[in-house]
Amino acid sequence: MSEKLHPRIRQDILLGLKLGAVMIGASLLLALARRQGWIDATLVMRGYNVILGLAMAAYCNLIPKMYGPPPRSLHHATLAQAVRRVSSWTMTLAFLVWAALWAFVPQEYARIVSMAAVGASIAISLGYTVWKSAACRASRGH
Amino acid sequence: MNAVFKALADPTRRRVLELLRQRPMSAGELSEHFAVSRPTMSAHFAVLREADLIEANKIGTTIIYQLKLSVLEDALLGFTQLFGIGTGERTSSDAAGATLRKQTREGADP
Repeated sequence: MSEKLHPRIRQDILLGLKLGAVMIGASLLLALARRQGWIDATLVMRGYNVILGLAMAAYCNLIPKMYGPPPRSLHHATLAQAVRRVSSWTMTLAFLVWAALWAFVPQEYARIVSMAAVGASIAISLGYTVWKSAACRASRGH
Repeated sequence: MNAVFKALADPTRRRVLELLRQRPMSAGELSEHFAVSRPTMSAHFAVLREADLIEANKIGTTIIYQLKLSVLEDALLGFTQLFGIGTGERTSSDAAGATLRKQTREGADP
């Protein structure tokens, strides 16, 4: 327990905590506005989802800078870099789409399409990771 | 963010980032692509490291450079390349690099 945290890990944790605080603060403000009768329940739902989408996009934007274990080999470094880059791009774009949908599209469509966008980005990231790992293993085998 | 703009303003540094997009490389591998001296390349690496755009990791006895671009920085790099920002400096920096190399070589020769 006395081990010192890597400064990068501390930064990553702080970023997560700050984004979490922003999301909680914004949702409390939205709830307060609803209680005061300034906005209706639909707007609370939309507002919260827009903030959630933007916060998650901001978090995913920084995935390539986040802490990772030092690479064991050049193959490992290449794989880690490629996977982080693709995951970061797909997730960031998906959450920006999420925010845009909740801001501008009718709620019944936004609900389904935003989930589909994030689901697709996770599937692409996982698929790319599996494919790239297999390709890396195959190239090492030769 | 200022350090990022400073780092992306130079065409040589942008080319380094472009090469690292393909795969992580050692300083020697990267230097082979440029007609500039090793100290000049080291200075470029230092600027990129300071801006947190690349990371140096030791594998065995080799130090390899890895890309550390956020999505926003990656998009910014794409835009600067698309619009050719700072390409006018390329000729002058290349010429300066070539002159420096020539001087170093002449200085080394007896």
